Amino acid sequence: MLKDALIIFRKEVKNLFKDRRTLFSTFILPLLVLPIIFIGMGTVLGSMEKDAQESTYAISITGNRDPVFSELLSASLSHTAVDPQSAEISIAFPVGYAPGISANVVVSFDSSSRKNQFAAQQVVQVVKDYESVLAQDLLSLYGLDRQDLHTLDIVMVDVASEATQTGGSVLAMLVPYFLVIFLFAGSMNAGLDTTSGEKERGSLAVLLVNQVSRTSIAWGKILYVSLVAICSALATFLGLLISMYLPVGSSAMMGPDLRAFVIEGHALAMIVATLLSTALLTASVVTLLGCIARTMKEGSSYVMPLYMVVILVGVTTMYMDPTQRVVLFLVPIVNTIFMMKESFMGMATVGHLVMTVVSNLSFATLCALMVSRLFNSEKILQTV
Amino acid sequence: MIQVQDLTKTFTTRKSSKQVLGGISFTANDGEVFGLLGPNGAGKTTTLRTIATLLQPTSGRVLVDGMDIVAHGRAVRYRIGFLTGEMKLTGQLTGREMLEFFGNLDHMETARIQQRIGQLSLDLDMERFLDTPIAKLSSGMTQKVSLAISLLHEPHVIIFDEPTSNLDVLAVKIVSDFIRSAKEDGKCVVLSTHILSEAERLCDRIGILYEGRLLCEGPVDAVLEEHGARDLEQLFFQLVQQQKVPLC
Repeated sequence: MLKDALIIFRKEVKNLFKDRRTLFSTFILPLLVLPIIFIGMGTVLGSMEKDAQESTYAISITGNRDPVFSELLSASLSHTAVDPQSAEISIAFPVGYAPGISANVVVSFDSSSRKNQFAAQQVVQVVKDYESVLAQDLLSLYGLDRQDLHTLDIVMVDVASEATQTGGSVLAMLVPYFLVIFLFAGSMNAGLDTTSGEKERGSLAVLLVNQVSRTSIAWGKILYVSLVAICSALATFLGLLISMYLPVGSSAMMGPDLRAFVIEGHALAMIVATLLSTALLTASVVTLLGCIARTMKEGSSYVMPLYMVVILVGVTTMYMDPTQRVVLFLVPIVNTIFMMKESFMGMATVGHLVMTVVSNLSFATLCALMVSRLFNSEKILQTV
Repeated sequence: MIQVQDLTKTFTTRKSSKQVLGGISFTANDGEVFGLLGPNGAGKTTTLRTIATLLQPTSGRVLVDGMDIVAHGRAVRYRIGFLTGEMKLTGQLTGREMLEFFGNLDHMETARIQQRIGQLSLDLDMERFLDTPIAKLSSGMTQKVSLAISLLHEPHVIIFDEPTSNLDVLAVKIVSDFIRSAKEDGKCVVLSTHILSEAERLCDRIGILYEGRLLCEGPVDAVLEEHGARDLEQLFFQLVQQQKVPLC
């Protein structure tokens, strides 16, 4: 049976690798999408930050003519002094204010502008620095220094695993989501094309009149869709790795520098095992729905709600910590996401992996048997 | 030879049941073209798919070269070449690659596949485009590849479901020439069509199918003479009116 299934598999793969458009959408697009997003957003964010730092702001200062404050502000922010009506940022000290007395300082700014937000933050920092200078002056009158008031030092110790500290938690948040989405997206195109697409093209009936068993045909198609799903997901993963090492945007987008992150061999093996079982699952589900549908359009309408559920699961679990609720490792897709989270954070257990793989393979086998049953019944043709 | 004996077919869903074939019988002999004629929805495709082992009879029997299609499905499939007009070959594989694929599906030896591809390439004049991706071929060229696929394993029985639908004039000629050639080679050809003039040109014997019932069956000339009709079109309308079935 496997030999016959491989005939179908090889033909589909050959066709895929000769079709540039499908090849692009299956492998190249997932590979490029994350680096493009990272480069694009990193570049935009970088240029916005640079623009905010280099701009000259119209600032009005009322109620305080202390040159110390003006010097601190000039050192922090390029600005021109204007009247309050034409100011981007207004700094208002109360009437009768004199350096050293308690007062409310009102900083007015437009929060809809990122540049103004940046300038306002700088102004707030300048006010704090000014307050420190004034406090130092007051303490000097009593022969004290600000350092004399500093009696406690806080030392923070991060007890998280090394993997988490070097960015594993960031990967645990992002990677499972993207991998699951692209696993499903990859399955969708290939799965519908090879089932309902064949029906639309009228070639399925001819495919069934030969010496190969219909079960072999069903398995050949599932194997092919699984391969496409895996390649699509791996291309996404590779794209993410490329993004991590990009000089532009990586730190802006992800926070910690992920270049120091090293995944251990057993964790990588767990991710691969999870990925393979999930690919087989999504491929079987999509192939089944494609077999039920009469046309690719109808097939899409069956698969899309499921795709939305997968996205929803991906989004809702994105910010969740790894779970100890064992039952979740029996729920397809949810188990995949949590298993990968654990693997990236160096917390994965063999028990969870076994549950995930067994659960995914069980559901995949169930769907594959249903596909096989459909192929062996007349129902597969009633819609041709 | 194909023998269809009192064949019925009913499609059942959870909500309803529809009888598509109501007990039809006919025989298609070797070295002749048998045409199954009738309007869309008459049951032609269902009949041909049943002969091709794609559907199972609800009752009755179908024998292909003496073998029951239910009991000997795989052996029957090796003896038949099946082609449907609905099939639109496409994709980036070349005609040669498609033929190799279908040869493998029929469990043919590699050397024999290559020998048959060479022969069919000559017979159907396909050498020029056999290594061109199918997506880049004209409809006539694609039809030749489809024909070659159905003939690759040298079937004795050829089943064509609406072989000329959606084809241009040149492609229709390719199919017609092929059918005549298969008949001369002693093969049993069964085709379905709703184009009555086409049937008159190609078929030795016909069966007119209407709403799952075979209204008449026999050699074209004999059937026309028996009913006093000048052509198949007139015969068809006469028979339908005799059934007191309103035409719409």
